[in-house]
Amino acid sequence: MLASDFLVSFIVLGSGVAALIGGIVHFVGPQLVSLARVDSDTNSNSGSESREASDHIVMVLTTGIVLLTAILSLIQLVSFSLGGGYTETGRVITLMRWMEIGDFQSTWSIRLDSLSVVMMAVVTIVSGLVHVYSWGYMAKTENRARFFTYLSLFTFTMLMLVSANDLVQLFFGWEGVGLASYLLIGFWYSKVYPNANQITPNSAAIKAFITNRVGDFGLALGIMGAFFVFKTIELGPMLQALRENSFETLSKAQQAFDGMAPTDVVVSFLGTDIPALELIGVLLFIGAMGKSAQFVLHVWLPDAMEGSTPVSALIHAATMVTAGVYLVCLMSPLYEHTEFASTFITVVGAVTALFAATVGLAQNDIKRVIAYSTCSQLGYMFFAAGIGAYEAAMFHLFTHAFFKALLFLGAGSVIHGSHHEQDMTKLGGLFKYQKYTYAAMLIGTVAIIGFGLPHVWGLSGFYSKDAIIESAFVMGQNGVSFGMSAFWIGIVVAFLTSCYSWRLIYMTFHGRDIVEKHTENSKAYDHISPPHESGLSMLIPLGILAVGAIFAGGVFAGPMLTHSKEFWGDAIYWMNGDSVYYGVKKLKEAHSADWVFWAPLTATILGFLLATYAYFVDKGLPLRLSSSGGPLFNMFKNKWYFDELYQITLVNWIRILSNVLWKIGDEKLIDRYGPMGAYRLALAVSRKVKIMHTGYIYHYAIAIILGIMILGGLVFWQMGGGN
Amino acid sequence: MELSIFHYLGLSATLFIIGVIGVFVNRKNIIVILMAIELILLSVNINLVAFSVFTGTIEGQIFAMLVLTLAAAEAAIGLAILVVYFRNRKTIAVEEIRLLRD
Repeated sequence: MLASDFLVSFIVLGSGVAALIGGIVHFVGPQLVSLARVDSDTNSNSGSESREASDHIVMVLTTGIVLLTAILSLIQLVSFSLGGGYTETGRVITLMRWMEIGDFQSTWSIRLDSLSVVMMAVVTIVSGLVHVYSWGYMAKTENRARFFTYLSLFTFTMLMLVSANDLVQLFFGWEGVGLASYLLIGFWYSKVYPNANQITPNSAAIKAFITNRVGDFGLALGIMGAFFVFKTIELGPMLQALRENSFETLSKAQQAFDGMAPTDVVVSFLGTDIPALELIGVLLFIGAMGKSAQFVLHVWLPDAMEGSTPVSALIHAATMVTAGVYLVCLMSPLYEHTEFASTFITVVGAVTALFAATVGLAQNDIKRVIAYSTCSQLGYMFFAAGIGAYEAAMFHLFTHAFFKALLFLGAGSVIHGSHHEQDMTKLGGLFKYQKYTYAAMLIGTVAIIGFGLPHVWGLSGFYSKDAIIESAFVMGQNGVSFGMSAFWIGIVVAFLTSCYSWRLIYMTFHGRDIVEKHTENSKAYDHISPPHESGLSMLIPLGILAVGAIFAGGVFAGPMLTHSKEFWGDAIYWMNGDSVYYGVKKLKEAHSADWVFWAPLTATILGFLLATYAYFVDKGLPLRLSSSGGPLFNMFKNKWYFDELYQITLVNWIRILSNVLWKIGDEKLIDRYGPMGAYRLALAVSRKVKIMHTGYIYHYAIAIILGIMILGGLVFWQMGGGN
Repeated sequence: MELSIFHYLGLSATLFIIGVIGVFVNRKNIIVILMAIELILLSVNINLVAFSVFTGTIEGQIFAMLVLTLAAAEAAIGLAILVVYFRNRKTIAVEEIRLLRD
């Protein structure tokens, strides 16, 4: 019991300790190392050598600890899904108290249920592999200690997020991952591009941070709303009250809302009474939209690709961006009661899935294609959660982490091997140079398009994505609003996913050779060596993730989908008792609508055929499409003009306002009359006072002695002589 | 004539006034100022010892020893400062030492 508590705490806190030590070593390490070797080594090189040594200390430390936690949490997940084992779920390990303000209480704690166990495994495994991968990918970079410290910091805050037992700790983790994401996107903060229109890492980091603030504002309001209704932010009691739809277990809330059920509570908002739960649901989802880059708040995710590729794989594909999905699934007892909020989620998710897939078709940057693909897959997860198929959403989150991290790390290998070329129009024919990377990317692509034979076997994406699409069909039949539309959009997006994924493969690995292309327009090709395969530290993570991308779906579909009721237990709540996938299972067994199970596969194969036709048979087609510049193509190419729209409606106005505040408010008012005013006043006064001074010591001495005499005389006079 | 406490206090007051005048009438040398300060401290010592003897308590004499120690330390530090000052500015004339104003 105690031992398992320790292990679980180690999983959550280990990376935090690593980050802390890493940070300290990053700052004082080089000095200490150079002190230690001051006698033996006095040449001018020792500074960079000691920096190198301390970098290595941090890298070994963080990678070691995160890998260890990854192994532990994998054991935890497996032993849990097989039933029994060292982790007993439904338990809370309290670490320490955090805040107590009146009724408001918050503790640092670790909540163990199936949701957090799955998330812990995803986070630590991908993070561990990304740590290893970064040894190769970042080998020539300076300040690796800082990079690895940030990676571990991210891992720690993400684990705090998923293991939170109250909403405030969740908020801490939520903001922590936002901070780590900001730091890592802006890791190369001094980088500038010759083309001024291209976004720099620094401004991409700021963009991500600010866009997330919009969502976080919603999340914070949602948490306050939850406290208003339930008088507690602890998840256990709150979710129990929601499951039972009564305040019986919450005495304080019962006092406040006597005789009411949680669904009856209304709040006045903009002059109308609306159910409090609907409001909380929408507000929490706005937070999720920011973090998970959903439609309208998605603009930061593609630009976040300015960060290094391992970061994109870890944060902007596998873990952080799925925090929103996790939050919605965690709050499933809430969303089961809120029809409007759930419909809102469904619509936003479906629109995002469609929107991002169309944009992904027309992008030329290899990382941006995968970023839009991530955005689109997150849309899948959200509409699954919106229609109530939380188990399918979580399962897709789980499998998606593997193949999307695989695709990103594969793209990183491509970029690394071809000397930092990430424009797909300039890449090509790489399969000759990078056989292993090609194999990994191929596996990732086949997994993400969800290839597999219904009733037989498929790759990871097949189980999870098809589960989402089929759940949408079942819920649509059951009359859930927008369920049927979500189903059809899911089919269309499956087709589009297949198109852009194969387009990426064909443009990068097939077609005209990269070297050939570059020698033609020789001004672009300044590299002497042809592309090369990446080293082992990068290929091994690719291999492990490829195994995950192939088998994770098939292995875990059993517990997570087929036996969803037993696996998820109390963590996910379905109001009508049966899990959504139970309906899918019945439909499958009834053979009444077999076409539903074949539809996604058909769409996928059609997409594959279209991409193959465009890049092998009619090779001029893509070029004709892009140069003809039809309105639809331009719209996709320019990301539906969202950046331009925000530029006109928001950014420009904020710029003008900030300029006014800066030039007039700050410089002319506050600075002039504040600090500078005080400075000028002090100067003027002291110039006047200076006249009284002579500078002779004996003058001051007289003043002192006369002063003492007068004061002393006054005191004596007061004490004795006064009366 | 028997010596009363007023004789002692008179001597002490005289020394004190000489010391004070020494501090601010002197225009030439900082060492004289230091010596004048020593005089002031001595006058305080005479006061302390006189009161101690005439009231029959020992504390005043102990305190006088402490003041002597302090005076010695102060003289040492003061002279050290003067030496350094002279090394830097080649003068210790009181007239010249008025950097505080400029």
